Amino acid sequence: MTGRTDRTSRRALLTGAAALAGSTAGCFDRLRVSVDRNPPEQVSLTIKVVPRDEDRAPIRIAQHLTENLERAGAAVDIEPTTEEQLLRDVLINFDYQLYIGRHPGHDDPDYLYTLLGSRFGEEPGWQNPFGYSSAAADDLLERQRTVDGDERVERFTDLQNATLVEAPISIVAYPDEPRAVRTDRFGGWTSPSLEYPLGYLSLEYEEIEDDDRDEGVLYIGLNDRRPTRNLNPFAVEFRDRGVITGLLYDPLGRRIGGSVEPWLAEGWEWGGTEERPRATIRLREELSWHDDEPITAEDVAFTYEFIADTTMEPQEDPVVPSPRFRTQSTLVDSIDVVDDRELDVHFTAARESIAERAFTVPIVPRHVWEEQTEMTSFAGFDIDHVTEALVWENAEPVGSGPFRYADATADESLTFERNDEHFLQTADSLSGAVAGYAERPVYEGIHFDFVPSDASALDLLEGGQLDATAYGLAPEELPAASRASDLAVENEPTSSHYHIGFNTRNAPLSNPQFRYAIARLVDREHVYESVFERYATPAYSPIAASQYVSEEFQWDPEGVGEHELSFVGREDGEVGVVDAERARELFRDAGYRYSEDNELLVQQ
Amino acid sequence: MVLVGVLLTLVAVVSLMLVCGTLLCIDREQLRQTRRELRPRLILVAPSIALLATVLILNSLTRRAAQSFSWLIGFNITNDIYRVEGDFVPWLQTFATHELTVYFSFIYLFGYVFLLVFPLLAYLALSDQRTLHELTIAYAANYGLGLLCYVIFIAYGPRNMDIAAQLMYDFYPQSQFLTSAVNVNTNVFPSLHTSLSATVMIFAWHTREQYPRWFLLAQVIGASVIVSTMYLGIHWLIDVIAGIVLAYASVLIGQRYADDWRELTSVAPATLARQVRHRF
Repeated sequence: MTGRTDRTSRRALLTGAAALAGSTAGCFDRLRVSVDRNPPEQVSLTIKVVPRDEDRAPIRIAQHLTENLERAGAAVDIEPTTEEQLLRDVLINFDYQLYIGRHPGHDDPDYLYTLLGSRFGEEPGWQNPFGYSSAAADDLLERQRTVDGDERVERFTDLQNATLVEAPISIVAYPDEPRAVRTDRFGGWTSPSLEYPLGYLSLEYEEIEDDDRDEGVLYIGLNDRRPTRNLNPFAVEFRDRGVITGLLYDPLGRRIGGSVEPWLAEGWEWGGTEERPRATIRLREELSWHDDEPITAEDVAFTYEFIADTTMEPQEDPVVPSPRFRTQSTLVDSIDVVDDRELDVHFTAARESIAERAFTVPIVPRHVWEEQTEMTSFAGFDIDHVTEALVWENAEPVGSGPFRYADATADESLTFERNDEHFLQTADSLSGAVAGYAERPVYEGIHFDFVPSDASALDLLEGGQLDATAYGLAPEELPAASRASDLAVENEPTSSHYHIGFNTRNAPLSNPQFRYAIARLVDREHVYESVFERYATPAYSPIAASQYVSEEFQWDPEGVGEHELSFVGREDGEVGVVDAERARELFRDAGYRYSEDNELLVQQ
Repeated sequence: MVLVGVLLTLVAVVSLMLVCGTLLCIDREQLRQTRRELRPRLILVAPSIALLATVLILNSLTRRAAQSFSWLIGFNITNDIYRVEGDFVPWLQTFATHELTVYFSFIYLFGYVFLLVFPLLAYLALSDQRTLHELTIAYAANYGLGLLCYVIFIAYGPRNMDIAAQLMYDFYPQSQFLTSAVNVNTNVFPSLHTSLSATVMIFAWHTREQYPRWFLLAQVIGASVIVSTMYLGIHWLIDVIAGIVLAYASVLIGQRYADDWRELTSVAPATLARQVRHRF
């Protein structure tokens, strides 16, 4: 009896235990299934921009985008940072989510070769800082180099179609550069303007009475302190267009009136095949550096090897190309020095008209820069893969240009003087387009002064302490500038653009649909009117300033709201304010969800 | 060149204010006595003034280095500040009128410098020199701690976020030459304009018996400086609050260490000299 009871109870116990175990497992399964899911969270984005003191447009575009993103349900922060730090974060460390910045501009749409090319995603500089990759785009970027005429237009049309909607960069506008200039001492401010080194060369000088400034010196206002501390033509975070270093360093050829014309080179002859050209270059006679060393073909060969790999050891890792002039360095395959004045340049696959872009790189003296090929040991960013060449201030540059460095005070001023040994001054006769610059500049030197704001620059211009600003003034200062006597406003469009850059390396910005939705929250008409006060050309395409832009991607004020890339729509027709429901629809179409409170959600 | 002009204006205006302040607040007999005892009093205060001067010189010499270092290790808190306090400064600016802008610009540039310099003279004219020592130590503490904060925190003011107008720079653009020469636009947290003004205001309270008129004047100018930092779009409300905390701490430091510092500097040279003699 006892045994039975025992047996029964034992069986009951076992059954109970099994049941308990089973139900516990079920309970834990349920617990696991329901609890072990990360809750979706509100999308949180940070936009990096420069502060108002450095440039007013980006932070205003950022405010506009932030408002509309918040209406679309995202949480957005704006993080102001200096231009130098912004470029370092974006171009060197890829430490950003979104930024609103200004691309320095370009002379040919071939600049997209490195800006969008997948294989440049790991390189610093304006080389695909977005981490974007597209096989189709890569193919088109390669192919546009080997064709010309209508065929090249077609390649670019395909490229724009393939990349614009998913592109990691959303172009907002091409700003004008309205400079205020004094007309009493200097003339000839237009064509070319101070946007190019040639603009400084073509100025006319006239002595005036009771001039309390140094005779023959051009006084220029700078809104940027960087050139007073660094004159390294390869340091990407210190250079925009490189106009100031372009006065110190001469290239083989300069772009004059649209085509590349011989400069340090006396001329070049093309050889090789149509698709892989070769150029035989002959340097001008008796060229010399600012330190009186002769300029030889060796310097030229050195420069091209150097920008391709600043360690000068291309066989060995790491390879550290110059972050500036990268598209140009990809064009040059190899160089043979023939003698002191002659060399053969072999190009990679490209038409002559594209290959000649390589001639616009500033030539640097071998005897100075070969000291800078070691890895650097101390700097504000990763030091394992950086050569001294890229972090060196080059405080007393030795160039070959029409101006030579004289003096600088950090954060305050910079002085150049005319290089009287320059071939423009000494050559008996010049032929071709360069002849127009014979014996130029006609004045003694340039004094650049940092001015803390556009209003104070205008004040100095009116008081006669400055002759011009190196940069365009903010639109709100222009009415006062046009009213002032002795001042003129020289306005011109540029190839430089303001854009939103997306870091595609991380979610949710890795999703092209998500980026596309953000790009459509910018009301370009509002930006055009209220940020730029019409001193800009709104745009969608990164090649809108060239003849290769597709018509459908051109800015059309009439077609607002009907464009594949244009603003998604206004709330009650209010300029700049996005229709919240349509904005949410964009993100829903891209597969994103919303919380009850209309917060845009993303799975963390 | 512009900077020199602005500086000359500043010196001229502040000198005039100092003369007026002296006539208004310090009585004749006191001035006569100060003239008689000027040498011993100056010798007594020299160590404190030397400390303040050292801090100021270090501050200006290391400003650029500190700035670079700050970008390397500091926290960019601009947006955090904005998120906490929202549109307070833009709201304050909704009351802007041309007259107020002129007044606050004047206060920010000239009133502030007068506010800091005048008490040095006034306390020199007191027979008890302790307040002067405390004040100079407190000034030094303000600058020293302020610089430390500027290294740790990177913050741009509301005008640089473009959420507030930069009223003074629009009205008197030359002033930016001065402000950009003596400071960097990322150094807004805490507001040193506020902390130094509040320091002066606290000391003016302590000496209200000796200088009743200065007490009133200091409160009016000090409060105006503090409001002006926000009204002109230069500082956030949070910078101002942090500035007041810094002022309070600096006054405590001044009171606690003024004697120690004087003793140290009067004893140390003698001890040092004795040791040197002893050794050789």
